[in-house]
Amino acid sequence: MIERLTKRLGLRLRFALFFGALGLGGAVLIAGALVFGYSRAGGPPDGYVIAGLIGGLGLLGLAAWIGLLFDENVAKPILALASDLTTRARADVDLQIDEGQAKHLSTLAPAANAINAALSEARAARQRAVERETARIAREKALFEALFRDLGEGAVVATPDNRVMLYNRMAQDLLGEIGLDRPLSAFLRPEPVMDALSRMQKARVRGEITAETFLAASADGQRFLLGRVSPILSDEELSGHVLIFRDATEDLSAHAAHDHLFTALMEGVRRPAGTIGALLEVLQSVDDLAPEDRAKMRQGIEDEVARLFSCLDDFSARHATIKSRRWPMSPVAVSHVFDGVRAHSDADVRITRSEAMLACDGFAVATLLAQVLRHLTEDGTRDALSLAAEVEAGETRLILGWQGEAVTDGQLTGWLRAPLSEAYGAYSGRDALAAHQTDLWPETNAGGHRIVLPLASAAPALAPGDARPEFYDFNLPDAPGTDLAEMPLSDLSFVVFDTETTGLSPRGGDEIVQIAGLRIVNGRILRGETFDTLVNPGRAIPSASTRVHHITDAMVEGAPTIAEAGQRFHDFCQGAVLVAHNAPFDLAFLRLKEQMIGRRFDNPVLCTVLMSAGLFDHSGQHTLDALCDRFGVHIPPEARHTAMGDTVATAEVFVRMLDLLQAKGVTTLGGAITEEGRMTRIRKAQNY
Amino acid sequence: MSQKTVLLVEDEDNIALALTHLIGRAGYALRRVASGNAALEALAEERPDLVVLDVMLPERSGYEICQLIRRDAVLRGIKVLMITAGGGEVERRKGMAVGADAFMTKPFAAADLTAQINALLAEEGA
Repeated sequence: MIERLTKRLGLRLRFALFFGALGLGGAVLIAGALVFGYSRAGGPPDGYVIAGLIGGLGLLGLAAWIGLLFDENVAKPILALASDLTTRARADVDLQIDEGQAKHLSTLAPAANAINAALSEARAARQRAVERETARIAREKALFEALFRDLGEGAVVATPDNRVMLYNRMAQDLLGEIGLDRPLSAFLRPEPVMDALSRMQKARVRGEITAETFLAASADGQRFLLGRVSPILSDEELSGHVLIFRDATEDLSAHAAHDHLFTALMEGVRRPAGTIGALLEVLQSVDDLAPEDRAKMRQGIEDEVARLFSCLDDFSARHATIKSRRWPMSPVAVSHVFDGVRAHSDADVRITRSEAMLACDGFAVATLLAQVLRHLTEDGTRDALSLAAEVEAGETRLILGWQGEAVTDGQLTGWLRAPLSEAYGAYSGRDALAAHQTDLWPETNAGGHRIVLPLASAAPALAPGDARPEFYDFNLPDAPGTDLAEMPLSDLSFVVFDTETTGLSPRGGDEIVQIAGLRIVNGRILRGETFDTLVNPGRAIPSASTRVHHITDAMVEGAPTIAEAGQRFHDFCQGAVLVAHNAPFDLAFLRLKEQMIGRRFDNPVLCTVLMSAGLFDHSGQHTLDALCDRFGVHIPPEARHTAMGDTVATAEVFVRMLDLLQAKGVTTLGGAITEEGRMTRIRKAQNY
Repeated sequence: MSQKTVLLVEDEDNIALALTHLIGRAGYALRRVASGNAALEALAEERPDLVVLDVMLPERSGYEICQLIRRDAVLRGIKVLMITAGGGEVERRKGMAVGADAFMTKPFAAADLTAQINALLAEEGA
């Protein structure tokens, strides 16, 4: 009881009560003593009363004065010290405690400052350790990301139940719209991989940790992938597996094409060769051949020779096609090759910068050009050297120009015979040209002399400024059970999407002209996993609609139909909860086309309009613009009313509303859908 | 009008034999040499109207002979028909880049060759 009371009363009040009690108690004692003295000794009562009043009031005054001094010099400084210590204990405040405020408390304030200094030092040491560790982890993360991103083979790490938790760019190139937390079987025909996994498991039981090979087709059947799968073990438990693979489509088809070509060539050559042989033999061995028969046989030989030549021409062209398909060079920037030439040569070369990309062995080409440049400048008869690139129809020609003495093909051939670099052993410039299936030659025109080296152009690499896609998530939640309603919202994958249409009436003949989607996994918006396609609506787009979304008839002319785009979008949404701003509108368009698409959009659906209505008041503004304003989400004006711009904004708003929903106690998908149902009824009543 | 002259630069005897007959039958005076250097000597001795030039030659390639012809003030105007057994597009482009007037890939039909020679010499005489 007393303990509770002391806790409730402040320190200063307790001290005041203490001095009050002291004064009052003293006054009561004085009064008691005077009453006792009067009863024993008698005498005039006034004297006792006056003495009692003076003594009692004096004591009360003294107690009050000492109490005030005590409050000012002890109670307040103690409270100030306590407050300072609490602040420093709870927040990272690195200031000394003012000892002047507690000068009457002897060494208490210096002692508090000593504690504060020790605390600050401990915090600084911990902060330094955290920074060191953070920097180390950041370095390792950057190394890991670069390694995986630029690995020449596709790499996928999957959970034991075969959901993707990491992939690299090559895997994305090979498997298409791969995404985190999505089943591997959506991208790869699973049977061969399952077989390899089963062999891997059996080997593991025998105590062998091995990688097993597989040859599997991509889910769309367009590619064959040859790869290895190996286990990831953590404390002897299988925590996933790594798949490393490369595109074997070209290898397999080129191998088959080679076989086919050889068989066809043998047949194509044997037939005319056999006929020519037979006809020649008859002509030489039969002396009394009638002139008309002899003429027919000669004509026959000529016809067969023509067939033979045509056969060789045909096979030569087909062989060139097969060879060119097997070209495995990676994209290299022309500017990178030119920088390499400059690094390998002392010559003063004027370089015309180029944005073009080559499919070549950049080091070999740069070394080869530097070698030619060295020979060009060795006798001092040439100057005004320059390097430039000309791009034309799938080809980029590197041009090494100069003024002065010309160069013969014989000189060039001699220069190219020498080994290119110690790094390449005996590999010569001529070998490098052969490997690139090209050649170089000298030309002379009015502007001077030049050497031309044609190489295959390559597609530009990803721009360095591209958004860093989310390629991995090692904390994927467990796979959703059969009862999605019971799943925590935080464990679900979402596809936020938006459509642009020809109008507002799906049943009145309006059609989709664009679909955009964005995935959210583990609460993260995956900006690297997007779906964005124009759709050919098969009808004219009214100009009023074009004014809103800026999509014209010309833009959708070559776009896929809703049947094709819808299938791809359905694949993209597999296993995810669909989210849209005013979802019933977008879904109505998709569901009306389900028969044409051949798929059903039966994923659970959340609508950000209804979520907003549930979270905020029932009659407020719930437009996308209003929600963006409320959550501080900025949509660039040029992105507003584009399917992807609105999708990104909806996704940003949605993840913020998910947090609010969970704070409100709605933590499962079922809970969120029930909440939406309640809002639907209210909104219907309000004519929503 | 004097008979047109053709210099055949070909190191393979069998095809040279056939080409000699073909070109002779077409009515042209023909001289055959079998290497790059021999071609240069022959060109220095007498300026032909047309050079039928194989690409793969001993000593100097057909490309180089063609380049030297185009660089020489006297020889520059000679028509050059390059022939090769290599069937690559890049060889044809290189041949045309160093100055050939026409480029044929072996094997070719005799009629196509004589037609090509006739066409070039007709241009030359024009």
